[in-house]
Amino acid sequence: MIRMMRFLSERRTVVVALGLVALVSYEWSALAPKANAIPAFARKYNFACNVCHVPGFPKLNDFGNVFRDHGFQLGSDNDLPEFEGIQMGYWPVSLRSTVGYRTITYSQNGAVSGPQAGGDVTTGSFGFKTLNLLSYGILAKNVSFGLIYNPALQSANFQTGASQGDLPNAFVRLNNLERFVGGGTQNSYLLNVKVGKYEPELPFSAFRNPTQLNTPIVIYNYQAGSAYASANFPNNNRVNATAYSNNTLSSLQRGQPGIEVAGIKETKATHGYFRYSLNAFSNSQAVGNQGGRGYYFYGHATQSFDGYGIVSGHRVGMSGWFGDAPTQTNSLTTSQGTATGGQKFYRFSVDASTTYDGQVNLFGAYIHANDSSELMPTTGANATPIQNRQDAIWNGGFVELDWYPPQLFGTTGWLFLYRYDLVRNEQQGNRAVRGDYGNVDSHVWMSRYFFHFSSRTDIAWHTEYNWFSTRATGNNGQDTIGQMFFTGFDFAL
Amino acid sequence: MSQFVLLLFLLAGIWLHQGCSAAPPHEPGPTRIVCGLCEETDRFVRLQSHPNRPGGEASGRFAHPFRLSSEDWIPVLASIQVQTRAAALVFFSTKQPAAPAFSPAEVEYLSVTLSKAFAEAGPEEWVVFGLSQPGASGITEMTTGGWFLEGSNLHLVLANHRCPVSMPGVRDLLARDPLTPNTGRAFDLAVGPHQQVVKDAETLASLFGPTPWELAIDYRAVLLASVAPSEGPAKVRDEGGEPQAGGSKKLSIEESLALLKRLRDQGLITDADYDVKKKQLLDRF
Repeated sequence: MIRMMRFLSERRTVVVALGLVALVSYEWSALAPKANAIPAFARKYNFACNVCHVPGFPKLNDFGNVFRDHGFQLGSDNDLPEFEGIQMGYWPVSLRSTVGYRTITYSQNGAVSGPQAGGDVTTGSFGFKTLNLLSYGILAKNVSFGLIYNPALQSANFQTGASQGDLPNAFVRLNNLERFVGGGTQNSYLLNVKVGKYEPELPFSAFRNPTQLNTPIVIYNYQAGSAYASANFPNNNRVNATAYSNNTLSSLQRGQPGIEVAGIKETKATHGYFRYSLNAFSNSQAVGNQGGRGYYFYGHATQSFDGYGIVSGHRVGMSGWFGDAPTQTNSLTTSQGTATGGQKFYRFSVDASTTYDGQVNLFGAYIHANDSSELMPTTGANATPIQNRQDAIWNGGFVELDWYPPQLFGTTGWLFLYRYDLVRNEQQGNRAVRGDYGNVDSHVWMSRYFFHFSSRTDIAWHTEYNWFSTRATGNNGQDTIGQMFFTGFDFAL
Repeated sequence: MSQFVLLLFLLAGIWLHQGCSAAPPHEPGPTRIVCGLCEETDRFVRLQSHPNRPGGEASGRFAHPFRLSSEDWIPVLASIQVQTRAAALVFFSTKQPAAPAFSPAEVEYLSVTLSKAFAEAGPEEWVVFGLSQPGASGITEMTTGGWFLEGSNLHLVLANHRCPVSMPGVRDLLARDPLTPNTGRAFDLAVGPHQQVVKDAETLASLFGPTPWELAIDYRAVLLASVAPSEGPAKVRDEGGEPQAGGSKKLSIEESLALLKRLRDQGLITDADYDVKKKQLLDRF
């Protein structure tokens, strides 16, 4: 904290910029009458965005979460794609992108010699961040689907070069299957099966966190042995990026191909909901240039009280990951999905969420991680495992405070966020590496103000500042400090 | 680069501040409840000042207090019709057929409570209202807005119409400030006879999205039109100019004459209007 405050005082420019942005946002808020509305579901049901979101995309409120748990269905004829009263212009595709100005800084890079030895690296530019094409809805009653496509873009993405296309989500979900096994009533949503590629039901959704595009949740993306650099920082070869290789799952939040059995049930005793999700995933982690064929299993269960636990009520939950990650390419073929040598890893987490007055949400998760020593070769694939390897064990977590006042400065549409992430290594996968190598501390502050131009689009002024440090990851063993500041527009239609 | 960005923000802040001086935040002022029926769990009618809204200052713009019987409010309320917008793609939309803005139960409630509230309203007070009902999707739909009388026109500001609301904070906000739109214009007012949409003056605020609909209603003309049984209910026209049915019931000749006499005795119509309308009724008879 002291180091962070010193950096803030040294970077008065950033602090002043944040203050000016807050001032501009306040002034702007005085002008703009309120309106949220958007993508496909808003058009389909003629809903404002704040019917499902808090107060706008991407975070879901209680109603929106239940709608999602029910396979994007309200349980009425309005759901059907052939419903005669459906808005004539409904088409189930939405787009999202973020544009603005971003600056990032690395310090204590540990350059050995020359004029830049020990200096900072700073870069900033106007630009954009990603383009999502989203399509969610139902194909027929109790058959829902989801698609997200990120096209490859030749234009530079905040000066990090051209992006690659990806399909993070592509799935079909069959809902209300309990009717066929003798349990549950119509529309009880207790037994649902999803197949395809999708974001796992993490303790708290990464994809729907407002900071996801700039500051992902650390514990979902931490890999023991490597310096955490936040997914949005460009590669920095002056950082001692990898102390030892680790073939474990590199990201818990990325869309995973698999099958899910999930359900939700209202629990009258607690005036809340019980939710569960059981998954079997193909571990497509690449080894060399071959995708793997390991499997791992993931489960998550929550129980809420006096509400869903995001806007009203409280919620507790636990999650577990267990499975294999491949370590060897298959010498018999060059086909994908054939890497072998699966070795064990597991994670276990607990999570909790509490709310206050329908406008404050305090939540967080704690995770314990273990990667088998067999996952630690010297470098890359098929390498000889290091002599002094041992299980890599780390603990981590985050706590986040979201505040969405119904009205501030006389206007609606505000969201403020603070999150603290940390990772502490309990045991390195290589005995020769110092125990606290790679420990992470990260702070992020964010403000978001939703204004609009029509009843079918949604746009927010988004400002975010992230400060993080990773222990002993500089070239000369010093800590690496990273900072990111972004301000711009996040819009969807 | 960072100094350049700071300069841009500084200039933007100064520019917006200049614009904002003409458009301060809309915070409601004191609120009064004037009858037991006016405050129920799912609907209300209140008196509320809005000092920062156009016309809200104590400049004598509002001709309050104003007395109109509950039965005379019925044709006025029934004459208000809306059309839901159906968006095709992002940049254009089509309109659904016009439908009454208020259900018969809402007309009955508002006719009584608006009559009481306007009779107690001060010259700087709006008469605001909020109505909630369960929607087809199972979530609460809210209709909120406010009224005032200016000259011989009743003005209705319809901020939200059947707007689905799931967040408790949004429900509380619309209940506290019924003139705040929760969403952009997802509906249009179908302008009928003796009605006129009030256009906002161009301001910096209008660059950032629409403001609530405001409808000016010549209530005397609406009442006069409701008297003649052969004309039937007050009609409005859709986009194609075709008349659509309103909500007033037909009257017999005796009832029409009695109503006409009452409107004259209450000063709601002039003697000249009375004589012309009476002659029309008798000619039909």
